[in-house]
Amino acid sequence: MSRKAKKTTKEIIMYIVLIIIGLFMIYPLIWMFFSSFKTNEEIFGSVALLPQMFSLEPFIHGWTSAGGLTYATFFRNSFVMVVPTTIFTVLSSTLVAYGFARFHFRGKKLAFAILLSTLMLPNAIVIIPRYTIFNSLGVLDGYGAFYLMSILACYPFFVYMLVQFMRGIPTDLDESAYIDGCGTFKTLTLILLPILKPALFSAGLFQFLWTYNDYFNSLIFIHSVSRFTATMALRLSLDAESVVNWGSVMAMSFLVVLPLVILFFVCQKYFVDGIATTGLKG
Amino acid sequence: MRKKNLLALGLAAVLLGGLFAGCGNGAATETTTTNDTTTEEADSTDQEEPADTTNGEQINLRFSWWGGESRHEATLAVIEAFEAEHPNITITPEFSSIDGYAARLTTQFASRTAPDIIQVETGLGSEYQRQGVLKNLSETDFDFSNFDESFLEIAKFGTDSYWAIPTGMGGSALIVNQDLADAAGVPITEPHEWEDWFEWGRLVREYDPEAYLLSASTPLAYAFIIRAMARQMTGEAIVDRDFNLTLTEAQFEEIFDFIRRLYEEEVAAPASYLAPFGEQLQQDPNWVAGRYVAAMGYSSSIEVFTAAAPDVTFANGRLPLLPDRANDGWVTEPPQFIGIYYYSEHPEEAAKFLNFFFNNAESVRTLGLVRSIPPTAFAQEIIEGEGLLDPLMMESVEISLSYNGFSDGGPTTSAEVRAILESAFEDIAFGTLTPADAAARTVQQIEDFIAANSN
Repeated sequence: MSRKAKKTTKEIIMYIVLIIIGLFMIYPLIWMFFSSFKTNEEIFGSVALLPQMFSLEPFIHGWTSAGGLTYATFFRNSFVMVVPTTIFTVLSSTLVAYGFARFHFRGKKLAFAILLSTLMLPNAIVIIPRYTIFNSLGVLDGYGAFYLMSILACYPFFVYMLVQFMRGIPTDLDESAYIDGCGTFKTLTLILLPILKPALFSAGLFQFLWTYNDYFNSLIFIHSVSRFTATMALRLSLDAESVVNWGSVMAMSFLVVLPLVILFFVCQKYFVDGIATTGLKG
Repeated sequence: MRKKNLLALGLAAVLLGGLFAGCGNGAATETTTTNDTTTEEADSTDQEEPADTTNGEQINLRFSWWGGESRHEATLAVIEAFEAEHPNITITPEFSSIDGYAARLTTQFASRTAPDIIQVETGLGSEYQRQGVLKNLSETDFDFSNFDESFLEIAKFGTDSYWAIPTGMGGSALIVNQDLADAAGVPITEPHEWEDWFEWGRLVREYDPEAYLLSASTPLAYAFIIRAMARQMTGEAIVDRDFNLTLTEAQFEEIFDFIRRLYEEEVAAPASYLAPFGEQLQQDPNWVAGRYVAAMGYSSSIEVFTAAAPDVTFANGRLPLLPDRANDGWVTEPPQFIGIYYYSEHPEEAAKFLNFFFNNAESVRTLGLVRSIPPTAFAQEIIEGEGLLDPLMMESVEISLSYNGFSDGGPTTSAEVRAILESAFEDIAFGTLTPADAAARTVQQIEDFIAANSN
């Protein structure tokens, strides 16, 4: 066997293995899609992947939720909440990280330690104080709470991630920018931000995913059903004491994950870049 | 360099400000009851005015409940009818699923922003009453005359006043697959004792090696077995209202040993198999295929269980008893309560709405069975007249009414004791603890709970 043929066989085998693993990974999604068309007995009583018949009925039925609200409202709510939150998080975290990575000031170590310690606090512990604060600020039952947290860089994970990344960028770059006449702010925007791009993308993507998928925080901070996000709306029809039409729930779940799947494929390059480079030092 | 320092200072201030902003504002919370978050239209930024509506025309009430689609639709329809009759009152519905419902309420209680009208989990009613978050309904205009007085006892939580309204009648139920029970020769629909289950479990396994007598999972079975058996043994709740532990370690061990045998002798399906289904045992493919004689559940979930397996004929099982018992243990309980928030600014209007909700024929007709069999004879007649009454559900309520048990609602059903009992149940069901060890640990944990809570 020539070396070339050997290489091709190796590649074919590799691809077959990858495809099989890939299918395993994506199977739940495929199952969810096909379950949209099944009746409850089919979902729970049979292991067949394909439904007995296809109809758009579950999608039409599922689209309208209790009280005449439709998923159009819920999707709009989700994006009104998630998009600004993501943008604010990236902006504020970059500024805070810049401060920690490049400046020396009194109490920096202490401030950083406090920041890191908030990273260790479980959400269940901070939720009541947060609720009380947001209540007194009057930003409950809306997305204000989420905007506020992102504007004030209350996501220490991203700050920490960006600080680590910035520490990896040689200060020589800042110094030569300074010699060329850049101020501190210009150094950040013109010199550091372009290098930070992969890290910023991964921070943004993560924040988008986490906020979009979040159930607990939204549930606590939002009461009005008309302001529910898509993730919360999915739970509206689930109850132990009433018969659940799982086909419709699956249909809507499929629609709800769709934006994330599309986003992932569109930004895949940056996503992988971000994860790969944030691990590198120096 | 100075510029740089200034920027650094600014950044540090933003950070510290973000961290500590809360401490300063926290104190203000006590005084701010957020009425502004009530109206759907209210702009979330406009906050200064705690919207004093008592003198004005418009009154807004918030009503929160959990449920499924049919309950949401019916409840919204009643709200709409009420608003049409009382144009000066609007009701903001806050409905969701039961996931996180209690967690949200707890958060709201902590900052006094809970809704005016609250649907309450049965087991938590007494805990809420003790925390002082429920309004004394005896002081409002709510009309209890349609309710059966002995059934209402349960809404007093050991006091002399009513604190909540039972939304319906229900109780523990054994939902029986009549076809399999007949085929395997298991008379579970007749009066029987706990001990009979072992013999029947064997019969079922002999008849069909894939079938089991019982489908049971921790959240349902801990209540069905541990709490009910304890009530039969002592005639009291495991932790009574005065925070005394009434069950001895030996009695705990006896109950736990019964649970161990259920699993070891294959009377109940393996715990590890059923764990993923939680309370939703009807999602188990084996339930759909009719491979259990009975499932432990509640009257209110009968419809869900029977709908999941349309090819099976269902019946109500009788509930098991101890030969030597203080009383029957089994009791008729509401599937949930509805109460008024203690800090509600408009308790009278809330009571007016609840009168409309429970005592108006049209509302009763709209609500149907979305909160189980209605709690009043008046409502039951209407539902029956409409042909809406589910005979199996009604029979289950009648069965639970036939026992002379009593409710152990109170510290026993509080979140902590529940967690203690559930984890004991699980350790035995999975075989990680012996009944004796589990009993010793449970007694220790309950004593710690009592020490922390009674004073």
